Amino acid sequence: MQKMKRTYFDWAATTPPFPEIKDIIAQAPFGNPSSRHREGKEARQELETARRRCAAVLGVRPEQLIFTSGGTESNASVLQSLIVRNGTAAHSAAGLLYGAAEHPSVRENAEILKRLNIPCLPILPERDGTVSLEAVLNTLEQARERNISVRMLALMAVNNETGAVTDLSAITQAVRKLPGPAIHIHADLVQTIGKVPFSIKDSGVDSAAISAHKLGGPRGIGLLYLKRPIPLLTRGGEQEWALRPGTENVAGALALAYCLEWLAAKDALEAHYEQAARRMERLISELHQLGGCTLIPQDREPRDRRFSPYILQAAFPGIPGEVMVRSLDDSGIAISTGSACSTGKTERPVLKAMGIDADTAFCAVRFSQGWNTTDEDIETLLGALKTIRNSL
Amino acid sequence: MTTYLLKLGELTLKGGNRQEFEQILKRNLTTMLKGTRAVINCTQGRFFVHCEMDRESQVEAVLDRLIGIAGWAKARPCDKTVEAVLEACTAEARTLAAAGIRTFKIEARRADKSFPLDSYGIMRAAGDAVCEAVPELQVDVQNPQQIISVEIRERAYVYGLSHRGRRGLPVGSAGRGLLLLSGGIDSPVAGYLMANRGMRLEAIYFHAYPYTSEEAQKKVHKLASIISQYALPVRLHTIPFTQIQVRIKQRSPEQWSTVLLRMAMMDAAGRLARRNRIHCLVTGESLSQVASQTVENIQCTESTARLPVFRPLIGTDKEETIRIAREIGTYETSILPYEDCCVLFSPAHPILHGHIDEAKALYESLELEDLLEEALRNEKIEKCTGEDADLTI
Repeated sequence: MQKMKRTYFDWAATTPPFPEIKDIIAQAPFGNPSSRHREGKEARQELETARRRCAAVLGVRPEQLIFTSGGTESNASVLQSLIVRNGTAAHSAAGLLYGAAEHPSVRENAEILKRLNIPCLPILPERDGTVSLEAVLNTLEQARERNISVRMLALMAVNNETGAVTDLSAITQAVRKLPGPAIHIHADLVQTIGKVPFSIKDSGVDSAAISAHKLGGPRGIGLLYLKRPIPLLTRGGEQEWALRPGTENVAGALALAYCLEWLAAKDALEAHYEQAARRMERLISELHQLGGCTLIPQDREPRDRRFSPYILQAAFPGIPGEVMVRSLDDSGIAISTGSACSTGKTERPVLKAMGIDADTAFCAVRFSQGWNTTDEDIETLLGALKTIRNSL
Repeated sequence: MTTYLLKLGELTLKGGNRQEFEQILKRNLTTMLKGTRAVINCTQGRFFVHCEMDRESQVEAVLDRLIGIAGWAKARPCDKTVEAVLEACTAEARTLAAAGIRTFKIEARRADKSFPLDSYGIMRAAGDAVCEAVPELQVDVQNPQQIISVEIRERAYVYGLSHRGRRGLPVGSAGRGLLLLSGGIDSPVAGYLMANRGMRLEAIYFHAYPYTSEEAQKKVHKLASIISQYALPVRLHTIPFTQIQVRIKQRSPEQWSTVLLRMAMMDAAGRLARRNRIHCLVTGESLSQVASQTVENIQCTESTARLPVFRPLIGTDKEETIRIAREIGTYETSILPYEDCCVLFSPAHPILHGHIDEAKALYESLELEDLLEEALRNEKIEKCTGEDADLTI
């Protein structure tokens, strides 16, 4: 049987790896960077080279970067640091504010914190999915009224389901000006770095999460940016300044450095961004012509700086999201109904938080493209959508 | 070599048919033991299974799933000397006492007449030996909690019946039924219960791709495979039903769509059953559990079946059904989140007490004849065996 040509529109879930990654991993030194022999030293050197390369692209200092297993771990470890911070104190606990439309690695860890009596308040997104400064300040005010001392704010710069871009710089600047104890600001940058213009340094955030496999890299490697070291929960070794114990993934670190240099460097990023924006403009315009498609949010423009051009959420009323995924899959096109981490669950918490009604959410799907997506891919997708709309 | 003894239960009540039932049981056991290199020995109304020691767990798993036996036990084989037999009896008695048994009696059979004690002598000597060695146990010849059996054959065997069997009648002794398998909790249990009455099953599943997923179909395949561990290999007929669902959605009042869909399913199942010489349909319906299972709606859905419809769960509480589902191992698969019917086709307010005449008229107006025949022509048939019971979905 001839293999069907596949068209991939699920780049927000994971991306096809750069072909060079295989060789980078194969050629990476095998030694344990903590060993004192030559093999170990060689590995240590390569690991630090990788860190310096990542830092150079991201515009931060190497010692501010910790290699982790990926975005989920980076997000979770920052949130869990509140457990260390609170210790066993039962009162005046340091609380958390987090976006109601965050990735499960933030939302579900907030649930854990709640069970440990650490107060956590969700910030509702606007109807377009972004988190406004006003909403942050209002939630802070609510916390103050309830005598919660907020010590951490966790938000994503680009929403993984809708592509909504939150202006983290503005929020950081305003929050910094508030009186009272400092608030640690954590940014989930998994859908941001290498895709949407963003400067970690200029944004002023205190920590950030980055994942390699969303950037053409392998699974199991990512970064945690820490402006200043904070006490984290995990213990078990001196690796990564004892902040992330466990033998370091040198091969993964080298692969990640490679991906960042390719995608996060300013020129490449801007060029890719412009191409993606152009393709997204076409996709949205033609979806309007096709009819029977509701963009989420509805007022998203073909070219809209409020959204990442890499991600589009849209509903086809009358066709359940899952059915659309299966039908497109049969036509050789891969998409998803939302966060891959939420697949199998019928609820769509992110859309619910945006105030999208249940019927529309039920029929919603996510199209996400990448640096390799072509105009032809967009055409293939539109053709298939047309056929499916007519047959179902 | 390990020896197991099987005790036949209800079979013994079947008078003249007994031999036939035993033959079916033996055939089933042979099928289920395939690959274990176990040997079945059937003499004088007793089933013995002999296997290598390293196959014990496989054989015991089969005996645990075999329908048609009252119980089974691992026999203690020993030398044909009085001392060895008495020692085996006291060892068995200790096991029983540890399991909380307080009264017993000894039964003995001496097939090998060269053994120095006769049956009565064995019973007396073993009874005395047990009472002395295990003071917790008392003899009760009228109504013992447990019987310790001694058989003197080519070797001596001692056993107490320590494992309860599934009882019921051997699968294949009570005709054939077509199980409407949905992927939920109820229908696999209904199938198992009918198998437990000796029915040989085939299964039918209505697949509405792309409205229902491939995972839902795999789930049904897995469920049929789990049932087949008890009920012998099950032929699963998958019928593509999308066109019929779409027709119902297009042509009928929304509130009626579920009842009409079930009428169409019964219609298709009835046709398939008759063509395959299957005598009845089996469903997991339980009275008033959901809207389509009220007595009025069951009257509507049954009207298209044209065969007897068996509903072993009709008066069963859901908790009891779940208990059985857990026990036979279908529950964990049934609750996987792959729906067998897209909510797109489920009305928000389904009709609760449909009138049979109205149902028939609506059903007629759907003009499903051609679509049903086409769906049946495109059926996919799979043989589900226990090998797929561990299928990853």
